[in-house]
Amino acid sequence: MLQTNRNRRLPLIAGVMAIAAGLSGLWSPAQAEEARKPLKIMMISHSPASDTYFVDVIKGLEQAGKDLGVEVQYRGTDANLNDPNQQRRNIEAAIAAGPDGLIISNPTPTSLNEVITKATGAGIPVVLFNQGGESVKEVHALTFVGDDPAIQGRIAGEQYNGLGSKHVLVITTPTGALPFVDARVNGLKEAFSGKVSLAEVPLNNINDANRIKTITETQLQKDPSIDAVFSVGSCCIAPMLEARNNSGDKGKSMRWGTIDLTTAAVDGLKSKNLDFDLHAQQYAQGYYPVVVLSLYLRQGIVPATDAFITGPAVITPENIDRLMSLQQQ
Amino acid sequence: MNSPVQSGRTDAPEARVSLRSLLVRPEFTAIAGTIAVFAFFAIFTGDAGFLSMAMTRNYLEVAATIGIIAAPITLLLVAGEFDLSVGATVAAGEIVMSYLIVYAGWPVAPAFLATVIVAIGIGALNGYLVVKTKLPSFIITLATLFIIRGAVQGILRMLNGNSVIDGVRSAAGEDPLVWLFSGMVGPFSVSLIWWIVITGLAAWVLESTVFGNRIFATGGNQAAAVRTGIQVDRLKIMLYIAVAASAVLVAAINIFTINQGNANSAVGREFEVVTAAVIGGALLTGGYGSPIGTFFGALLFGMVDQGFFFTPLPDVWFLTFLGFMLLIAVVINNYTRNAALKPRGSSQ
Repeated sequence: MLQTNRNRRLPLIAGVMAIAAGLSGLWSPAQAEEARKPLKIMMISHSPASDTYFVDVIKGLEQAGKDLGVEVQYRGTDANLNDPNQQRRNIEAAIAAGPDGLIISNPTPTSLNEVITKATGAGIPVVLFNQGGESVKEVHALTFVGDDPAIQGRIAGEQYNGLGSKHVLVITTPTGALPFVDARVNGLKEAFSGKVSLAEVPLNNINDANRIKTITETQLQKDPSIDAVFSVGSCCIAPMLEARNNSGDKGKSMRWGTIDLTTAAVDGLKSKNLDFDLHAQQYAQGYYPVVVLSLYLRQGIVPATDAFITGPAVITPENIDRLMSLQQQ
Repeated sequence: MNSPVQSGRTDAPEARVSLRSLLVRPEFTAIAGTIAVFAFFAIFTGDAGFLSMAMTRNYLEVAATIGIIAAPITLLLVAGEFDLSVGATVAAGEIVMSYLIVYAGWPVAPAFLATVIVAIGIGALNGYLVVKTKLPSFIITLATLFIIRGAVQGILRMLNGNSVIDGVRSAAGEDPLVWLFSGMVGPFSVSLIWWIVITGLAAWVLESTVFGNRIFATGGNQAAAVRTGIQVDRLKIMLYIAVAASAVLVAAINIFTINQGNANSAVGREFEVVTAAVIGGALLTGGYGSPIGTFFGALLFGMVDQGFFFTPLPDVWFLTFLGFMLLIAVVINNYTRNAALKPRGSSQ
């Protein structure tokens, strides 16, 4: 198949491929299937592609592309989680590129609604994902695929209530730094019947496992009445479990939970070091929008709901094995 | 390296001299590199949208927000000093100005002037610390980077419990001055005009004024500059103030374009502006540099940044891609400069 395609290519394109030979593994195989003229769908987000959470979103996006015969491309921001200026430019670039459909995260509606409306105005169907579900009508998007951080927090609070915890330490970013993280924490505070303390990790250290561990252990030292710990996201799971190990018997007697299913979390659940994990199932945030858009583009199917909620699912040591065996197939 | 050339061909010395005089310009490689990068994206991604007017506007916008700061940074580099705090100063400018407009209800003009005054304070502090402590400016301004960035985040959290101030343009309403920062000139953003004007100003100051000569003298040989009576300390403080003021201009462009002031804005900008200056031919050791070259360095940066979008490469490779582009640019730059400077140096 590759061979016949290559024969049809212009010499110019062949030149490009030659230049790119060193990078050949990086070029999406979908690019080589021009002959079939598949749908082209772009995802424009506020996150660098390397972010642990978005790695799963992108996997879902790419799998959906393969399953549905759609050419997909991800474009996030360079380095900074939430750079609305760059995201706006990327959306404009996407409009110029003229894809068949767009999937856009909308963390700052006051800054981005204008340009997203420009996309829908140009006749490109848009599905919002991850954040900004409240803007679906304003920007004339088809629907929103994502989750509600407040619900995640409330479910976490209920889990700790069920486990009989009295005082939860939440490992989180400084209040005000990331609105969706704040919403998770506030949801937990709302639903949890005991006391809540915060271990705040400065944004600069969000990828520094050692610092996160130290901050957590300091808080545990300071207040011995803490009998449960909650990691607000993927950043802090491995360091939290390290802190559990370092706390010896006291650590074993406490309850441990988190949001986001990372490798560390899976290991934690399997070894019963982690009591529960709220899996946002963000893979579906990459997958569903491609389904929605391709149904819309190929069958004219318009979603009748403003929001597809993808999570969370509560994963525990009891059901982790089933999930893992499914994902390996 | 030069012996066969010099002994062999005596028939074409003029051609060689004119080529040399072209190569010796610090901006030469930046211009050549910009043309090469433009050609690359135009040929390989032009159909995908790189050549469209909207995208031309976009990469000029990216380049402008780098170039506006990179122009005074070039003067500072020529004078032999660094300023790593510019990204944090942009964030400080955004938050101060946004706060005055959104929460204090000030009109744009006084809010902008007040922010410039804050920036003058930051620049003066940077300059004062550098000249008084005589420590490397790299370290001093690294410290002020952390201090300013942290203070902006901390103070804003105390003020509104958040890391952003939304609705700046909406709060400014019909204020005509908003146009100065986020308006359009024909198909392009007004930031392009600011960028050209500031580059022209910096180039004029450096090439055609006594002050410019003093900047060269300070960066070239500071001890000699002091002996000839140049007030080196005062000159450096003034340059730090100019850099901080340019950061405020970028802050104003950002908040009115995107309707939001962000305490985490412009992270890493300090390296982007230095990169633009270095691509433009400036030496990190001082004494050599060109605002015109820096202009093209920033333009190249903007094109790479926006052009990548249209390549089929997955997003995670952007930084690698950028890194290779910059490495190629500076290696060529260095090679041609060395080749060009040797004969010129001997003739002086």
